[in-house]
Amino acid sequence: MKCSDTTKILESGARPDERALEHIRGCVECALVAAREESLTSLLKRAPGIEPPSDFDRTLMNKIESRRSKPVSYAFLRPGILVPASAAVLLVLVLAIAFVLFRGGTAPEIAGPGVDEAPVAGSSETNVESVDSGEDVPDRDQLADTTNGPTSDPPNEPGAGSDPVEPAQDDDEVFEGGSRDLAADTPEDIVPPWADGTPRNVPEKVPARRLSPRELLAELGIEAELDNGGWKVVSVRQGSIGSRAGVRTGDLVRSLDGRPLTDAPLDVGGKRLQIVRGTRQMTLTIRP
Amino acid sequence: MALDRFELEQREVERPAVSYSELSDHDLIDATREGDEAAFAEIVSRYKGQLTNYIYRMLGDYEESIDLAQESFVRVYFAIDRYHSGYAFSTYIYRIATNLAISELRKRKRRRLYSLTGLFSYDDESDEEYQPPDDRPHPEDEVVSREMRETIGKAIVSLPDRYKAPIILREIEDKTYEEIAEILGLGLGTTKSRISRGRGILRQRLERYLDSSTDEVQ
Repeated sequence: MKCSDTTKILESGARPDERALEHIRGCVECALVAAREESLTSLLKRAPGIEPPSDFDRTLMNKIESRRSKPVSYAFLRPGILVPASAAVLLVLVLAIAFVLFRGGTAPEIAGPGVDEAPVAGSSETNVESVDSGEDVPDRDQLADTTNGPTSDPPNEPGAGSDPVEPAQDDDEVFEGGSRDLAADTPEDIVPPWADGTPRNVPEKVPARRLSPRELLAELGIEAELDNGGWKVVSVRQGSIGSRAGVRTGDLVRSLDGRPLTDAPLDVGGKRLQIVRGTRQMTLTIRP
Repeated sequence: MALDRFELEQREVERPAVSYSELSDHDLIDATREGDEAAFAEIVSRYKGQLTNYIYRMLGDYEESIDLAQESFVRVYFAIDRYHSGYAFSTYIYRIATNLAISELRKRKRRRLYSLTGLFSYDDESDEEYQPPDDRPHPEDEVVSREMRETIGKAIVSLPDRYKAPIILREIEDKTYEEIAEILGLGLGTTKSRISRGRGILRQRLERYLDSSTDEVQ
């Protein structure tokens, strides 16, 4: 047996077996290690101890008696605790649901990725009217406050009053998706939001531009005509962004990210296109 | 008075023909289940000394050790119907005591954390240094000074928690590796490893005494 193996056994506190003992007898170094470990073992046995007090048993029995006469287990299942606790949990749940519903009701449109369809109770005519009257969709003045696209002069600072539903980078995604080149064709409509010299707080690669709805739709490959408050799709270019998003001829494009597509210029950007197809109100996701 | 009632119940229960001290732990448990509280008193007398000392060496706090040892017996008493004789009673009660002691150590750590923030002025050292008066004669005191004994106690108490219980159970309580593994709910390899590492720490902390002890041995 090797010294290292013997030392390992001795230092672990285990009793050495016959082979180890034989090695220790013939090895001075391991014999010293064995003596040291033996002294450590005997030293630890001298750790101070205590004597239980004379009233140990009496105190113990008193504890048992008091515990027996006053059961404490499952105290939380008593009606006095359980009912208020359940009521509190219920109240929190109701408040949470109300909060979620309230948030969902005030947001212009919340749509998941892809094509989301929601049946509309009335006809398409009703839907178009609702766009005009602003019952379902906030009017432009409201939108000016809730979106990052300024609709009046002077333009707002970029990022100020951005849509809480849509993160600012979404505009960037759509912008990079193919609108940049076409926008260069209509420089007169491009009004950078920092044109008035206000400090800007956005990266330079995200310039905010303003296009008319027609131009914006053209960027998406959609030819449309203004029709009763919306934009009636006349044709969709094959392979264009609009085509990939699922826009079809005859659709009525109502808004982009909740902002109505009226004849006034809009900021370039957006990710979700709200349309009416027949009696269905749909949200199409733009994928550049 | 609770004790009077306890003594009254003892009289009402049929006593075994043999002395309680001759009964095994499992027999005493069975008798306790049947309402013989004198059998339970015998269990208490068998284990209170070693259990109190075990907890004391874990915590280094006299009052708390007494309290937790009693709490261990209280838990055994109220869960006696759930105890099954698949393994030794000593393992069972040591496991309860270990859990209580570890729980107390965790509470102390939290209190120490609070004291660091200045919320409480908790003197952690006072617990470790407290040595209750012990009037028993110590024959070994001629060789091993009281100071040395205190140092050994402190060295054990200040061990990291994961090494403390295995070391005490092995080196002081003389439990086998298997018993220790069962008490602590650890694997055999882990148990051996912790004992070995714990010994390594203690070897360093008690080095000066080891040298003198070695001389004595030689």
